[in-house]
Amino acid sequence: MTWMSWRQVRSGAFAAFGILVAIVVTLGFTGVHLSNLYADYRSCSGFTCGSSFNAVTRSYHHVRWVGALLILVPAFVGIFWGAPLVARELETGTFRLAWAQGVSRERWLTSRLVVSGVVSAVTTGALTFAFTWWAIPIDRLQHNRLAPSVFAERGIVPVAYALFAFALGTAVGTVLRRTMAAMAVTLVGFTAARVVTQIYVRPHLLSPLTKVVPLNAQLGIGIDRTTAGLHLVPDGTPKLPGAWVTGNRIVDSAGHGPTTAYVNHACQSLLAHTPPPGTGGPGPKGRPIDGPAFQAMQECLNNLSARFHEVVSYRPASRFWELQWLESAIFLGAAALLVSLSVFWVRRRLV
Amino acid sequence: MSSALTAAGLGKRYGRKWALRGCTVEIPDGHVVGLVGPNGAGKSTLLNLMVGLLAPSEGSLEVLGRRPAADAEQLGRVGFLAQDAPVYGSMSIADHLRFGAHLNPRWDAGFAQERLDALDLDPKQRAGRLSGGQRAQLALTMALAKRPQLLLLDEPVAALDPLARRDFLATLTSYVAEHGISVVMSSHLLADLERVCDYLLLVSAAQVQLADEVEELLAHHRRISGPRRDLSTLPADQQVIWQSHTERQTTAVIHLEGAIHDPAWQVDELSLEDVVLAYMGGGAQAPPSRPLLGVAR
Repeated sequence: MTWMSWRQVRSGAFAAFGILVAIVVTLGFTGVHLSNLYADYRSCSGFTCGSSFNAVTRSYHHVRWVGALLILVPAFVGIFWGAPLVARELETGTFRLAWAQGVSRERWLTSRLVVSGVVSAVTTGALTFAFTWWAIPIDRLQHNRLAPSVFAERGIVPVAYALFAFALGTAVGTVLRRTMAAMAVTLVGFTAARVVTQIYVRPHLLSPLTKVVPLNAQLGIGIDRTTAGLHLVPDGTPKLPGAWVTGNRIVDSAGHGPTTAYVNHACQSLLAHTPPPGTGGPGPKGRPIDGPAFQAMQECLNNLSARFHEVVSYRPASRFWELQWLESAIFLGAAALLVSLSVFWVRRRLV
Repeated sequence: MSSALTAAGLGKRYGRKWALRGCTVEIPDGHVVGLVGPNGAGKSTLLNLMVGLLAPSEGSLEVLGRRPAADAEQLGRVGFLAQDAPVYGSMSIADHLRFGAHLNPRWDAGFAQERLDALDLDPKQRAGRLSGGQRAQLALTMALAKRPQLLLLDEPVAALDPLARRDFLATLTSYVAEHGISVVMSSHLLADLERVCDYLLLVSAAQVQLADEVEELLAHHRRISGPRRDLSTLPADQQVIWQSHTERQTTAVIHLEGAIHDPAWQVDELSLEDVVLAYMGGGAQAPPSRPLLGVAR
C-alpha cells in the first residue's frame, strides 16, 4: 500500500522537490556570502560599522521573498495534496477500485495520509530549515524573530501549519466530495486559522513580562501637540532586544494615565515653544526640536517622571522556541483531530 | 452448501428514497448470476452493498458467509468491477497491476501478465488513454488476478462494442469454467446473460422480483394463449405473471408447478428474455399481495 500511496503523490512530490532544491541551492550560496558580511560587521570598527550593518540587513532583498513563500507553502500543501487526497477518488469513481482491493479502507487512508503527510512535512521542513539558517545574520542584527510576520517564517511552526493545512484539506475533501470546493474551503479555513491564531491566540500563549521604565530615560517618549495642549505617546520600541512588545502605557502608581491638563501644567515652557497644529511651527511631529525647545522637553519629562512611568509588557527573545513549540502543538493537535474526522468519515459516513 | 449471497430484509435508503427494500434472497455458491432489472431498480446498489462500498440502511447481508468488507481477508475474497470500470488515468497499466499485487495477498502476477499479452496491451500505456473495451479488460484482469471466490460485475459490457463484448465474456466464461468461482453480473443485455448465466436475479422497483436457476425458470414458466376468459379460474399451482386480453383472445405468462391439462390453451415455452420481460412488464399492474416467486429456495 505504501508503494501505491507514493505512486499517487509522486509527480507532485518530484515537482516540489525540484523547486525546493533550486531554492535551497540559492539560499546556500547567498547564505554563505551573508554570513561573511556578518563576520565583517562583527570585526568592524568606527565608521565602517554603519555600512557593514546595512550590508547584512539590506542585501539580498529578492531572496527574502522565500520568507513570503514560506507563508504560502502550507496553504499549497493543503490545497494540492490535502484536498484531492480523498475527494478526487470520490469524484472520479476510483474509490470503487481502491476500496475493493484486499486492504481495508482504514489502512488505505492511513497509508495515504502518512506518505503524503511525510512528503508535506519534509518539503516544508527543509525549506524552513534552509531559510532559518540563511536568515541567522539578519535576525542577529534586527532582533525581531518574535515579530508576528517573522515568527511564522522561522523554526518549526511552518511544518505544523503545513500538516494542519494537509489534514484540513483531506477532511474537507472527504466531507464535501468535491476537489475544487475542498480546495477553496481549505484556503479560506487555513487562512482564517492562521489569522485568528496570530491575533487572538499567540498573545495568550506566554504570560507577559513587564518592565517599568522612567520617562526621562531617553527612550524617546513622544509628545503630541494638539489644539487642546500636549499629550504623551508611549515609546513603541523600548530597548528590549528581540522582545515582542504587546503593551505599552504611561501610568502613575495608581495605574492612571496623565490628563492633558496635567501635562500642560507640567510642561508649560514646552507648550510655549510649540505652537498649535496648523501654524507651521516646530514640534515633535514636525522637524526635530532643538535648542530651547529641546531644553523644555527635557524639563517636561523630568517633571512628569516625578509621578509617571512607562510600563511595557513583552515576551523576551529567549522564549522564541517555547512559543514555537506551543503554537506548533496547537496546530498539530488540530491536525490530529481533523485526521480522526477523516478516518471516521471514510469508515462510517462514506457508505 | 454455502451461499454466495444471503440477504434478509435488506434495504438501502438515499435520503428519503429507498433504492432497495425488503430484499430477502439466498443464492447458493457456484453460480453465474445474471442481475437484471430496469434502470434505477437497485442493481448497482445491491452490488455496492455486496462489496461493502455501501452499508445497509436496514436488514442484514452476508456475502460468502460474512459481512461485506468485514476485514482485509473478506475484501480479498470478493472481486469487484465497478460500473464504467474506473481506473487511475495518469497511471500506466503496469502501475495498476503493481497496485493490485501490493494490495492483494493472493495476487496472481503470472495470470495478469498472460492476460495482458493475450490482449496485446502495452504495460507502459497510461490507463487514461485506453479505449472503453481495453479499460474494462484491465479492470477485469485486476478483479480476476486477485483470485476472488466471488466476482461482482456492474454493467461490465454496457459501454463495449459487440466485438469487445464478445472478448470480455469469453475471458469471463473461460475463467469461471476453469476456477469454478461464483459470479454476479448485472446487465441490460439479456441475450448476453442468457449465454453466460445459469441463475437469474431480477430486481425491479427496489424489490427482488425473482431469483432462481435459469433452468428452473424456463421449466416453470409458459406462455398460454386461447379464447378470451377470466384467468382467476386457473388451477391453484398456476400463477399469472402477465396477461393481455383482446376482444376474443387471452394471452398470459404463468408460473406453474405441474403440467397444463386444459386443452383450450396453446402452450409455448419461453426464452429467458421473455420471462424477464413478463416480470418487468407485469410489475406495475400486479396487485401488491402477489407473492414473490422463487425466493429463498
